Amino acid sequence: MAEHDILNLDQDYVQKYGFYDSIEPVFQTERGLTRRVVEEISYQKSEPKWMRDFRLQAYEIFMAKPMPTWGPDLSRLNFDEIVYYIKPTERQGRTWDEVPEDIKRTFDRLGIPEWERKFLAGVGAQYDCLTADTVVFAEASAVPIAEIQPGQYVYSLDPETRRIIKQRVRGVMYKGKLPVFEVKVAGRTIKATYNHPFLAVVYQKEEGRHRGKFSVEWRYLSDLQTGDYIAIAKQLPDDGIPYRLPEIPLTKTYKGRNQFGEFTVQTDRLHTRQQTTLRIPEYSSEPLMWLIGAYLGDGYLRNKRKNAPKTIVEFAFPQSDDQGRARLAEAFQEVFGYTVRFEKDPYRVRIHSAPIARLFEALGLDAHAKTKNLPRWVFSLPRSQKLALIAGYIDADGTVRCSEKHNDILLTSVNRTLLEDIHRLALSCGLRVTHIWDLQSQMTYKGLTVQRTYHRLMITGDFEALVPYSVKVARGWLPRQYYQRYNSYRNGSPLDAYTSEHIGFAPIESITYLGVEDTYDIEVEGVHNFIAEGIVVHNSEVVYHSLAKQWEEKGVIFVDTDTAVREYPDIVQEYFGTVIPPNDNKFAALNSAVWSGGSFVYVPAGVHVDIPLQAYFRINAKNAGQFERTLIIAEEGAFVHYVEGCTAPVYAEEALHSAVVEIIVKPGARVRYTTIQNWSRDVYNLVTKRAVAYRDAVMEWVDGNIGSRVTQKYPSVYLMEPGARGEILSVAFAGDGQHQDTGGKVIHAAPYTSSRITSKSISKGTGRASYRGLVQVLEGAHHSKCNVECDALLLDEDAKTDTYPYIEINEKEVTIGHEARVSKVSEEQLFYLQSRGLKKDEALTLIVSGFIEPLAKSLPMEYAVELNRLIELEMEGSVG
Amino acid sequence: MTEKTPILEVKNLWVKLPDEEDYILRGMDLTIYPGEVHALMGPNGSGKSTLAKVLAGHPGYEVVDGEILFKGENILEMEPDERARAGLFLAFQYPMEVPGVTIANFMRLAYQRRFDKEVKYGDFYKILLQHLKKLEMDASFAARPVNEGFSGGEKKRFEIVQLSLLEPQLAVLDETDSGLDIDALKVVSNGVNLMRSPERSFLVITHYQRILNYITPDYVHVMVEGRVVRSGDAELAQQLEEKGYDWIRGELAAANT
Repeated sequence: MAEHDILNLDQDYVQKYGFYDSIEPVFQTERGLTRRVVEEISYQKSEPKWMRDFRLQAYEIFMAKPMPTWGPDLSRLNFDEIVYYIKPTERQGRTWDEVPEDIKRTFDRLGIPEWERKFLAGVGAQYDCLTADTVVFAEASAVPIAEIQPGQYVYSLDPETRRIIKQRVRGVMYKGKLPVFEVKVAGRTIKATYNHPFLAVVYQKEEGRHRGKFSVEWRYLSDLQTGDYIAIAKQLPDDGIPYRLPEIPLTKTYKGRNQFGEFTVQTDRLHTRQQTTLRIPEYSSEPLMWLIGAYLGDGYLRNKRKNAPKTIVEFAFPQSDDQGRARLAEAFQEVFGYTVRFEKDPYRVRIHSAPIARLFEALGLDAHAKTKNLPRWVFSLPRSQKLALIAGYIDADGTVRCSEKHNDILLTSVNRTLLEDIHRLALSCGLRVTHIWDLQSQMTYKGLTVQRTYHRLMITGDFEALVPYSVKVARGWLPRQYYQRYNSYRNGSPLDAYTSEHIGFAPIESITYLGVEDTYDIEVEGVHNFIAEGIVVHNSEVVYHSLAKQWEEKGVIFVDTDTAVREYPDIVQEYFGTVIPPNDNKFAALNSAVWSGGSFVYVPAGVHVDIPLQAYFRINAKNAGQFERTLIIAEEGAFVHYVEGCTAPVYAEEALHSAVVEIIVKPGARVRYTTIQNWSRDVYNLVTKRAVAYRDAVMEWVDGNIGSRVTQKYPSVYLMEPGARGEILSVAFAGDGQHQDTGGKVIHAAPYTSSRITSKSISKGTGRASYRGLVQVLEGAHHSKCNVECDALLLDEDAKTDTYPYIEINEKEVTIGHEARVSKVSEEQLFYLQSRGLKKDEALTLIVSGFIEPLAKSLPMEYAVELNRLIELEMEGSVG
Repeated sequence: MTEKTPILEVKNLWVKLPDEEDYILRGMDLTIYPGEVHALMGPNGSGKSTLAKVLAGHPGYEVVDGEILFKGENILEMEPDERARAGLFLAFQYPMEVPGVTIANFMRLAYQRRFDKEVKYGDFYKILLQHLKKLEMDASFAARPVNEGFSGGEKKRFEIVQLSLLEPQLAVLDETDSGLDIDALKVVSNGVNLMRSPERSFLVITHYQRILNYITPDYVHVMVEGRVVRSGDAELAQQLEEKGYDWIRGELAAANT
């Protein structure tokens, strides 16, 4: 499924997604739980005393509480075998390749809806992408983004110094097929999604002020329009080095045969008599690059006879171009010690040298006009050598127009790819280049009219840098007074504070919708931007930060709970353990004693966080426990949606996940908590989730349980004040050997409160799905409304389902509804679908998706899509 | 006509339920050529519907002896979906409900499988609407769950919509007329008649002669106790209507003594 994905998971991801993902622990406790282990955990975390006391008290409660005797079979769970705390490593830079397959799948599952959501809803968020063919200026190369490797260095803008520097790539991500737009600016073209950020000049004039203020900010493409100024790379730093050329032996082995048998003779006199000084250089040089440029412009490799090896390098330099021919001869003499002899041919110059021809071959230059391309290493050269190559190309195939009217160089070719590469090379050297455009020409040859398409680009502006290298430029160069340096805004205001020799700003010429294409994004360390197609663009990391900044400014806190204990002690201490005290149940006590990680979310009054906060939990080691602790506080009128995903690799021994999630929903606030749980089949997933909702607040639990051996989870809502509402949607899929014991709890503690529990379970093979629910209406909670609906679907004869609906009502005027249904997939139903041409597994999947459809419908689109995908995956191979 | 390959040949078919001793089909023979419409009539329990299900590949029956050749090939080993994709269609006597699955989704999958090509949702929707219209079904049915909450008549009509959409080479209509009022019967028959062509054959299984007033059969077969006992043209159906199945039973008894 994720064959394109390359992604680093390291410490920054911990910050970004709340990943807990480390393989080499720096510290772990001994197996089993003792008072000392609890103290050690607290010590390792350098916690305040109140937290240590909390843990120790919880430990005593845990030891005292008996194992629950109701519910699923937990007899195989051995508390003495579990490692309760593993301190994550500081090691950085694990690549996506090292990540186990199940993680990738889950990441996919969590990842897919994220962009799909953007795609469907059309709102911007943390993902932004470029098309697969976007060329990124990387060290030693210019590489399509799809081919960038983690660890490679790319050019990025350092916003502090305004200089272009090299930064390490942390990861590359395939983002799927997305709608993309073509942006044209200053001769540069890039294809990006609408939510890809560019560095833009923002001009703001306050009312009543004579002059406005400039600032430079990251802006989504969707917020930009034609004419807006965005940052471009004027040139890359001149930090290249000469290229080490492949070794070409000057000797040749001859094979012969005489009366004694076959023999071989080695000779170093391969070259002709005249060329006794022939040598092949070790490194690239300016004259060699000029030769390669000239060759790319109008050179070919030839052989003497058909099928013979190519031993001739031919250049189309006409007799009339005596300066060009002279430069050619000069360069051959200097680079190879080869003396060019001009033959009678008035159009061509031939170099008869097998080693030189072989060098050109070894450099990948043996191609014809339409297939030639620029070797990637050319981008790693010193600027002078790059310029020399461009100069050679111009001298062989360019037209330099320097007059009163024109001051430009025309390059025309049938080979668009080559021209695009020359274009990029010129940009990297700081030359000003136009877009490539097409021209048609008609040629009549032997009575046949042939229509051909040519591509053309123009080098304009200040190209004095080419004078030392190009004979044509040197001949015509006329300096001008003024050149476009991309240093000023459209009204002429200088942008000196933001520009440098590396960076300038140019107006967007056009933004055009292109259609749907494969897209990628990379992550760059430190500065979080890179230079693609000569334009400064963001990577996803910073966008996340800038969004985080936007929330931060509003007072939103989203950190891991350990950090929260350190950095927000007052608020954590106020709420921690208040919704689920340690003595609530044995597993809550266990979590309270040994918890580690989890998320702390605080949303101030009235703030709507409109992008789901995502967290991701994972069990790392055999027999390890995962005990994350999440605390969410939504102040009055706030809104937040929190999404968590969980996985673990498959270990043969039992692992335990025992989390506690506490949520406080203040008056008028709304919190939605979505879980997609896909633990591996050896995990005991025993989780306590509870929310308290105050006046007119809304709490929604969306709980999808697909993995684990045993899950016990009954998200609950305490409706504390009138008008509070609780919604619990639970879907469970119990496959072979799994027991999903799930449901929900609602406590109506105030009048005029309402709730709904919807549960859907599917049992397959020997799987067992149980609904366990409690609806409690306390005395005084009159006019409460509650509706419980549970549906179970059995796919096989051995599959089981059961329902334990507990209802306790201590008030008269209440409305309580309860409905439970069990359905089986019948042979007749399958036969009906199959008789229409559907394969058996398709038919089953269709029936299952139809079954969860009412739930899927109530989910936001992206989660519905994800749910369906998970079900499809579970159904795969479900038939014979 | 006869030089063509039969579209369907049932040869000496013996079928029973796996757990039972008694045979339901007892040496059934039937041959249908392209373009023909055959009516299969018979009293309750004569094995008509069993034949229909066995033809479509229902897994609940055991074929003990005999062959079913579809377009000259034995299909007994084929799964129901393979037979459907090969061009065999069964309009069910009791169509199944599939809660939560819309007609559009279901039929799109079926359409893609039958014609072995991907079709975009939007394009398919247009195709589906045309076929719904033919059977005078409202466009809103496209978004309704398959057969859920449908009246008996709507279910039967939807069967013919499927028939019309999937363009089978052999359509078996299993008591499609039962439970239909006269208007619905006309609509359904009209839908079937529109589908008649020299390449397509029909096997109309019915208890009553009524539907044959609208869908004129080329041949009529009478089935009793698991085999065809009498074949004739449309006239035979008329005789049955007048004299009842006891007439055939009587004749049979007379012949056996």
